[in-house]
Amino acid sequence: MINFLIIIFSIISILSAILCAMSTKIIRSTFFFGVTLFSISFVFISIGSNMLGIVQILLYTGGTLILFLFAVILTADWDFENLSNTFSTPINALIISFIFFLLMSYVFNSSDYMNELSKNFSTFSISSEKIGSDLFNQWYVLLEIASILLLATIIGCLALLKFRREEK
Amino acid sequence: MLLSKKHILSVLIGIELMLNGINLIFITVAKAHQSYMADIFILFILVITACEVAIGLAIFILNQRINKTIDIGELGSLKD
Repeated sequence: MINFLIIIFSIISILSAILCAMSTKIIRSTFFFGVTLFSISFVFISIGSNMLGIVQILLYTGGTLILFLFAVILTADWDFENLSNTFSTPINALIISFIFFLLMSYVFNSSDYMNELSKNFSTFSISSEKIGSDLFNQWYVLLEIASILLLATIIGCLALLKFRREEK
Repeated sequence: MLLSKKHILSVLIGIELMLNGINLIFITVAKAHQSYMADIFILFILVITACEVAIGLAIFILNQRINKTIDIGELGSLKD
């Protein structure tokens, strides 16, 4: 049952990512992007990483996707007549994507990861208490760096906003 | 999307999709080793992604207001 759910959500995420890339309208692209994020978070939950799936839903749909929608709304008065020409170099992009896909397939097939995954795969659930304990004991330097990065992001966005007001 | 689209939001969505793919590879390799380390690193990747989107969208709005364009090729004129 769990394997079936994982396969279903993986197929949904792949299809919605393809539709997101192929859409010419940005609002449709954003919608399919949200579907991709939801299905990936359900994949995370299905394989036992419950906390990661919930963080993905909260952070991406509550933060990133809303930010994208705000950006679309704020630029709604823009004339999108040139959007049909957004595929500037589709052949190059398709060729590079196909080469990258072949490379990744070769790497995964030649390594032992897929064999180990088929032998060791289990949907054991990881407790958030264990992750939190490791974050604050073993990986606290990375946690501090991430918090400083978030602070720098807030200051950077404020600086950009101030610059925009001065321009006006 | 990174190579073929001119719209800045499409490029940002492409970067997000690539980072989600990296997350999936991380969790796959960690599951192969019966490890939970990928959960911790994916949390950091999510933080970096949120920062990147916030800055990217701020630059997008700025570019749209100043240059009156959504073309990523016109971003260079912001430094003038």
